[in-house]
Amino acid sequence: MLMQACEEWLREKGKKRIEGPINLNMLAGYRFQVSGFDTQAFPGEPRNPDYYPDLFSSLGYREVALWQSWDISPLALLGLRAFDWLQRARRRATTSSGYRIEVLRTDHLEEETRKIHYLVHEVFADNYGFSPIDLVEHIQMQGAAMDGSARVAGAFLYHSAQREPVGFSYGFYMGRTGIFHTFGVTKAHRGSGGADLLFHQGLQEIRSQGVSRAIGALAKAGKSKYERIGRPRRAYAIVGKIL
Amino acid sequence: MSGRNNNRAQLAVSNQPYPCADLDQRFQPSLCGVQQVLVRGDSPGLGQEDYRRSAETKVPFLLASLHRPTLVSLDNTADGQCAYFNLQHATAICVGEHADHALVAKSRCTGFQCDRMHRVQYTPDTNGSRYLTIDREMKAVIIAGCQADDETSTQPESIQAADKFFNIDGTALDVEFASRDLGECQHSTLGRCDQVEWVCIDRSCLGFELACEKCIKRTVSSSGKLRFGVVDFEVLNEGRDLASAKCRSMQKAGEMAEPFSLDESVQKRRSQPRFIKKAELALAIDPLRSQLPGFPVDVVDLATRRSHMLSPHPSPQHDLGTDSIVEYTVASIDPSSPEFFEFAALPHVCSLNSLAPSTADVMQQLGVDSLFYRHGETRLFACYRNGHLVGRAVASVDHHFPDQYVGHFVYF
Repeated sequence: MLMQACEEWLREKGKKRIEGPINLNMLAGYRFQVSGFDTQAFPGEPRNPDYYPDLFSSLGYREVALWQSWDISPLALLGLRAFDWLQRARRRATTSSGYRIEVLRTDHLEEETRKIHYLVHEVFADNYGFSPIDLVEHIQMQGAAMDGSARVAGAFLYHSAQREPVGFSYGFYMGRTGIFHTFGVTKAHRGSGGADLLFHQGLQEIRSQGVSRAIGALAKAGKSKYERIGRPRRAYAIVGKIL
Repeated sequence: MSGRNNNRAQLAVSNQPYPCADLDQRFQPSLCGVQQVLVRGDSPGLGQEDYRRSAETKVPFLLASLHRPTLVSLDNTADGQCAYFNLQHATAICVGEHADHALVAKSRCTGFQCDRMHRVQYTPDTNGSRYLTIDREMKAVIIAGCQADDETSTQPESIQAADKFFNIDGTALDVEFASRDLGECQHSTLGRCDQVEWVCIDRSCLGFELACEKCIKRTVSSSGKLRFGVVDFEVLNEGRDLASAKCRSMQKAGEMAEPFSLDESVQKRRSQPRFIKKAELALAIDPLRSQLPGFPVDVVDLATRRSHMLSPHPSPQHDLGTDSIVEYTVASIDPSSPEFFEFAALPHVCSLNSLAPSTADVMQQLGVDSLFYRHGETRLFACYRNGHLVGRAVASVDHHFPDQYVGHFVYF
């Protein structure tokens, strides 16, 4: 009945499709979980009862976009580190081109959000469900992260040779587990080695914290760094339906 | 609270029916005033002399007019005295304190003292059996005691007796416990014995359901979805001789389904008498209840008529998974209305609450001050079941969204 009401209202608004869940804007949260319900939830993970996928399927909703997460065991983490070590020459090449990494201050998230606000727009412009918002709304959307209740950690800014930020990454800690949450490099600088550099920084960060497990979180379905360690344990989707 | 703990008790009951006490003390479901309390006659499992009972309770509780041969109710608040039980035989006992659903389960004790001020105490001759004390003032006490044939009764007999016990008394206790304060939804596990697990299920506004694995298949029913307790259990309402066989499922501790609710009960949370009437009504209109032995046949029709009187525009729908009739309505909520807070605070699934958007977040994102409204619109929909908010969804339109043919839903 609730979904029928939503669909009816959107029809009245002239919409041809309904999709979701999206918390008004993807920056405030979106997607729901479709597999991996037996795993421990991590901060920032969309979680919902396991009957949701079937429920929405029975209502005629079909998957529009898919994301995945990998549970990285200590052994797999070692493997990722080993692979990262093999990439050292490439990282050297990246840094010698003038790219560098700056550590973001996670205790001043609002201030740092100002730095990455425009970056977010460039990085996620092609992402599903992205809708541009201004800085004030972006800060409002951050909600819980801003009030310090979420322990954002390992946030890095990727600078180009012109000293302009062109990428960023951040994660969380959940006990002794590190969460690789978000990586992004602007379109113009993709292929410059920024993703590897940011990931390397993330690995270094969790190593310095003595973390032996990790989660490669919320990577869009398709090619991913985490595929090297096996299949994803969790998946999330946006579903949609023609009205 | 003690009721949260698992106990093990071997239950044995007498199958003899007992006459009701004075008629003016009788509570007839859907007919009598809520201050009236049924007090059962003496139980052979309880001493004939040394226990007290009273009809007038300050905090009323209800005992449905079913045959509950071994249930004895006490009201210690009436006289401020202790109640003493001298049991002639080994007896399985459960003690429930209705106001906060504390309960003591006891196996084979031969005597105990019930002190309203603080706790239930067992006399030293309890042979070290496990029990719980209720460490708070007890407003009223319900004793279910039953006599075993002898102290060496075998386990199967105990199970069979327990079966009978719940067939009869579970429903009554269900209503009794419904008189608790609805503002504090808690779950309780009443106890279990070696082979018969019986649980107390918080059905939110409706109260509690007692069940045991053995007797579920025969008699005990439930209506509506359940709020699941602190232990894994099998949902009731499953059995070869019950109307519904759809509701069988295992639920994990801490998981919560939609709370069962009755019309207006949300608004009347603090009004116990009204709620009790509602709960009583729910008991009466549950079609499966009528299958319980001793359930007055004429109550169903009367209660159904009353339910229609209470709801001027009834639109009953079958609750998924049960045969109970409940009413669902969907209404639009204005972010500036008082109902918005309840809408925003609607709990997520219990075990996932830490990941769910906080009430403050929802209010900020959907409230009238949300910056989203500069370039978007939302419509908030709330789902009520018998007047109680049980679900929500939000439809949104973002005029900045790249694909203007797409609208979104969220906060489902």
